Amino acid sequence: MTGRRRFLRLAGAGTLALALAGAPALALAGEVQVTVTLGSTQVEVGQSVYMQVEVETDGGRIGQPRFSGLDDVTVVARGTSSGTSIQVGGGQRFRRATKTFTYLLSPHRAGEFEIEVEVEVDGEDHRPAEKPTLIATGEPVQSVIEQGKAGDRPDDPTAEVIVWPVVDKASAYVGEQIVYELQIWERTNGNLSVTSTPTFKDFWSENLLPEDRSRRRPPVSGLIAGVPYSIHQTLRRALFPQKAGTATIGGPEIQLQPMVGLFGGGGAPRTFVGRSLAIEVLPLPAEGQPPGFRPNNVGQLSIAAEVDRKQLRQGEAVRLTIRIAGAGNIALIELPELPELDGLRSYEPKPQTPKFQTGKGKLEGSRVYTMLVVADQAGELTIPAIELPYFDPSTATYQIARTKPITLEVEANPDAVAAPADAGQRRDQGEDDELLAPPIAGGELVRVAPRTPWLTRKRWWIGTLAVPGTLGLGWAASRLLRRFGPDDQSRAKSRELARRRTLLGEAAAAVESGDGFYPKLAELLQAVAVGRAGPEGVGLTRDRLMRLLTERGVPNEDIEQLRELLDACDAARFGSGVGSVEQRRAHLERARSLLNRRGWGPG
Amino acid sequence: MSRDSASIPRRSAAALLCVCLLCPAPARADVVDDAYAAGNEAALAGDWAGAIEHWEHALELLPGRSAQLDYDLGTAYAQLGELGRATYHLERALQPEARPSVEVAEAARRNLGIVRRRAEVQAEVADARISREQSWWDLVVEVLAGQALAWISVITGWLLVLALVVRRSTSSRLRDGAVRISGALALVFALVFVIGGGLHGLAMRAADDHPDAIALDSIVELREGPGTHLPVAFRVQGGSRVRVLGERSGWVRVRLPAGLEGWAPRESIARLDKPPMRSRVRADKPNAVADRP
Repeated sequence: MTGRRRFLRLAGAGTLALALAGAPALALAGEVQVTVTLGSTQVEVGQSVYMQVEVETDGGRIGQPRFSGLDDVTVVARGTSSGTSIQVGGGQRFRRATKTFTYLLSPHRAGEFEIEVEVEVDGEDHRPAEKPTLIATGEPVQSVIEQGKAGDRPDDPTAEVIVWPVVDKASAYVGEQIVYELQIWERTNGNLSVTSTPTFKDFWSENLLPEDRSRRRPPVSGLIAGVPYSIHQTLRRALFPQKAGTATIGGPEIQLQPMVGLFGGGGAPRTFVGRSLAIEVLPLPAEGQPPGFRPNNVGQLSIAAEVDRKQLRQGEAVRLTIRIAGAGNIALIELPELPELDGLRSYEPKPQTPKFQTGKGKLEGSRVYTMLVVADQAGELTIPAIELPYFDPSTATYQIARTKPITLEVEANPDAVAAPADAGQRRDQGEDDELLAPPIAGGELVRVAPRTPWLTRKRWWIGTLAVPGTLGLGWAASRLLRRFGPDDQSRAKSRELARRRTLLGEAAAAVESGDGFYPKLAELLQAVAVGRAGPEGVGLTRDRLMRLLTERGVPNEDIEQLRELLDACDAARFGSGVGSVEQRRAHLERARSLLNRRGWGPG
Repeated sequence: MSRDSASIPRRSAAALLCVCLLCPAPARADVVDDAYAAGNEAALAGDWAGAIEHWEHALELLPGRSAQLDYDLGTAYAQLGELGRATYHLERALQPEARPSVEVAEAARRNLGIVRRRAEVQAEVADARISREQSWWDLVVEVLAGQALAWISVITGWLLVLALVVRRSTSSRLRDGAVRISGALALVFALVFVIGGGLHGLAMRAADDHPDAIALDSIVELREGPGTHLPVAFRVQGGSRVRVLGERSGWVRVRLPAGLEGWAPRESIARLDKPPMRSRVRADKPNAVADRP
């Protein structure tokens, strides 16, 4: 009795304990929990901090978290992770799904930011129990505009990372090339990335670094007040100011992901802002400006012209190639007005894509223009020198580059088409090309019925796969035949039987005419006799063969019949003739009856 | 007499059935011709939007293919500056299935070249990406996936089977030279079959899995995932040729020949192997053609 009471008491206590332990799990089931944690509650302006939003549900659909109160904080998503756990409580199992969103927060100004987070789960909004607060301290990070700086170096050895944009000149003419380089001086352990590139809104810019990263300059070492730094060249561009005045290059922004610990993980990224640069842009001097000068032709330029052939017939065309090369804004270089061509007709020049030579100190390259020149007259015709006026900023003077005149020898051609009235004038070579061909718009609409080729993809697959299939089956069949098929003896027997049938058939066919009947029959009977006697019977005379047959146990009656038939054959072949049809038919029947008897089969 | 009278209703019913079966085709053809003619009139009057409306209607009703109609539509879209749709229709006009005449093919190639150049300029201005022009490699892939190689591979495969069967069945009677020749022949057939068939299969698989398509809108924003809430990865110029990698809930994942991938709304991308989607002309803006909502 006591034992029973004790057992009941223990069971009751156990049930109560289990209920108490499972109660939180029961309460948790079906509840959505949102937890927001900050990597650090206090951060300096310009630096970043991680924020994690953890949403725990019983399998509901979780939407992207929404934030408010973060007007002066940049929020960048850094990925999500999910997990599932099973909890046991109250005799039941509960599946809990957890999704964690990670963000990077970077405040722009000092202040206290209360972060409000909302997450939609199955259409309902949920908020965390506690609102996290981020406190930002320090001065706002701003890009300082510096003027008159060219080719200078940083001088502050206290900074771990220095974002240092430099230009090769602080003052330039409109269209003059300025080389901009973004250097990053660093003495830290971490990964650097450009989060905001400098802006060149007042400039035409071209990349100067090779596209192939392996050809780029590796980091070099430098000292600031005796402190060693590693200098990375991340950007190098040729800039061409487009208007006079003060042109500004916006400051870049770099992010450092510090490497902490043995495996280099962890640590919130830090942001560094480089200075902006102001360039004084001078207008091109009006004095000494040659006629036909184009404002984009600034730099150190040369011009050359060539034709694909110098001897031609009247009415034929040559291709004139004009190449402008040098240092400057090659993409915008303009071809000068071409001189009048006597006796020649030309078409509008077509520019080709400019070619740049990157990897050099400054932007160099060439641009080619091609045009067709038609000889309207015979004789020696000259393409005069083409002049390219340009402004050389290194000497601050206007220069003129010239091509050499080209002489064409034109042979007279009476069949040549007469030059049109506007001969000598240029035509736009692309004018006709760039006009769209009109719609067909005929009275009748030409249409075709949808036609599926016979060899559809399905058929092709079947036809193709059937080839190895057939080969495989054939191979397998031959192997099986070899394994389970007839042996050599059986095949020889079959061959012999076939031969006998053939001879018998030939003899039967010759019954009526008698031609060749007896030779065939003799051949058949001889073969049958030898077959019955075995290999020893080959080459024996008839008497010895018959004796051998007797020794082999062949009935005398059969031997006699065979002998008679063979004698009849001999008589017919070498004696009185082929006899009558009836005789031949009788001999054939006797031969057949002999062959059908037991023991006369092949083998 | 009674048999004759009984067969009259049967004959009448058969005749009526024949008429019913035959009538829809000419009626449909007439509607197509009418729509096409109306488009022609609009085009002659310089009303390209009106012409597109009628020609699109004709295309919708057309049971088969018409290179001429596709060419006209492409040209009309090019006139309106709709370079994506112009490219799409001109490309379709040049497809072998449309069996374009020499005249249509030449004109379509010419207009396609002009549209391409205009698209390149637009891409430069809008700082959008544009697919590179078709290279020799694309041509090679096209040839590999074509019917010619399909036939060659299948025929050589069966010639290989035939050669092996003949060689095996006559090997005892053939001379050494003949055996060697038949062996070499079988080897050649086997090589052509394996290499040609393999390449054709791969090219066909690639064309099936990732069909060619054209970006229709003037600029198509490709996003990092299927949804407008996701960031724009890059922008593609209308008329760019892309490959469709997959589809999901109104979005298609496409890849430029350079390898860049992104998601675009389905109505912004048109597969070249599928009939075109219907467009409409806005009544209040006759010179603009809008997508179907």
